[in-house]
Amino acid sequence: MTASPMQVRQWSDEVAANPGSPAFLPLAQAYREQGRRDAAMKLCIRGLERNPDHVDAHHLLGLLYLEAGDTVKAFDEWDIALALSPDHFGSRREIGLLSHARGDWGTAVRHLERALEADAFDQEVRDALEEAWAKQSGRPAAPRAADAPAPPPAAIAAAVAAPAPVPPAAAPVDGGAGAFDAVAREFRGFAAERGIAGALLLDEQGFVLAGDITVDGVDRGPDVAAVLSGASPEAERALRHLGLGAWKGILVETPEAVVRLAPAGDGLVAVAGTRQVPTGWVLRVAGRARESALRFLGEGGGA
Amino acid sequence: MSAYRDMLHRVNRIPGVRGSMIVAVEDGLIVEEDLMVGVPGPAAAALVASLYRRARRSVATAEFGSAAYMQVEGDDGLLFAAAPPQLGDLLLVVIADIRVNVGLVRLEAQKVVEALG
Repeated sequence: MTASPMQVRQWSDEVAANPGSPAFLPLAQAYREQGRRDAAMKLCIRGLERNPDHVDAHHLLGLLYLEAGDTVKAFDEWDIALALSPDHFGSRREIGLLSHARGDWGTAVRHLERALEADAFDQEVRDALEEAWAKQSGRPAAPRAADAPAPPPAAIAAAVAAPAPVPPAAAPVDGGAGAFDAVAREFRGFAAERGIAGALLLDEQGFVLAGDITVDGVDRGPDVAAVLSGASPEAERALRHLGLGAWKGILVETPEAVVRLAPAGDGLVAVAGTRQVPTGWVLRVAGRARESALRFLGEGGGA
Repeated sequence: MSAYRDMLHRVNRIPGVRGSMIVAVEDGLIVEEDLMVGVPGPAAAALVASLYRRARRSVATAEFGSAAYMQVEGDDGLLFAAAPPQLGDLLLVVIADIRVNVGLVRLEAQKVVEALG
């Protein structure tokens, strides 16, 4: 719905009086609808300086970057939105469509499937997902809805009411139960090494794929994972901003422990060691855990 | 010269260091800085403080105690953040090239912080 000039003026006054006001978001949306994208972008950036965890603002800023042709920054913003709120389907949809446009079929399928759960009637998502599935399985894509002859009204109604498309049967890969068992066994092995408190393999959403971090008999893995999953885009952003290249890892030390976090394909590896062993030892175990994770993900285990 | 300024000068003498800052943990604002030209101080401070807060939350969640030191490695360089008790709610942040001697930075950071008492 388009905002009235009165509303725009009210939001504008609110933001002028208080730059931290949440009115920056509807105002930026109104500017975007009016075609004033630069003004909308500035508002979002300024608003996010004061409200860095505002998920919808990250989403809108991503759309503005996309419209300006900067897909890298757009992806970053949606990635941050998802890190803050994994259920933000708008950002998931855009990341899925962007991955589809880039030909990154695995990532596209993962995001588009979840986006479709939120809106099964989103034809753009359905078309992109069908094509991504087809490309992933090496089969020709079904004709896109836009390319097909216009169906009669009854057929349109039936198509809209139809359940989400069913993925084609995937060819068997080594990333099945065997690969899962193997990587789970390897991560248990890392956790059992001298001075190691635990090792985790996380997927890009921060879910634990393998391993645990046990403290006093309690598995803290999922809690640690939830916090750490957002570290990846943040580290990437910080290093890129400073011209320090792609991120290779984070090391955190406390008086009791050393925690190593490193990217592994689409996932992350976290290894925690006690102070009974030197930092270098924890880094070596983390290096081996990363190799194991890359093998597993490379074999299709993360798909 | 302030005690912080002197501290940053000492750290910056290490080959490969591009600059250092004292940054407030909670808001990511710079308290003192000594950076090479071209290093975007305010952005770096905000990003490192945010990362440090996340790292601190993660180790607290695992009941590993408080994060005293964080190192973020990139292909072309490194970021260090030290949070010793002597600095209270401040971080010593160091930005360095990939050729820097990591051990030396840690050692020097420790020495200068201890000198603060």
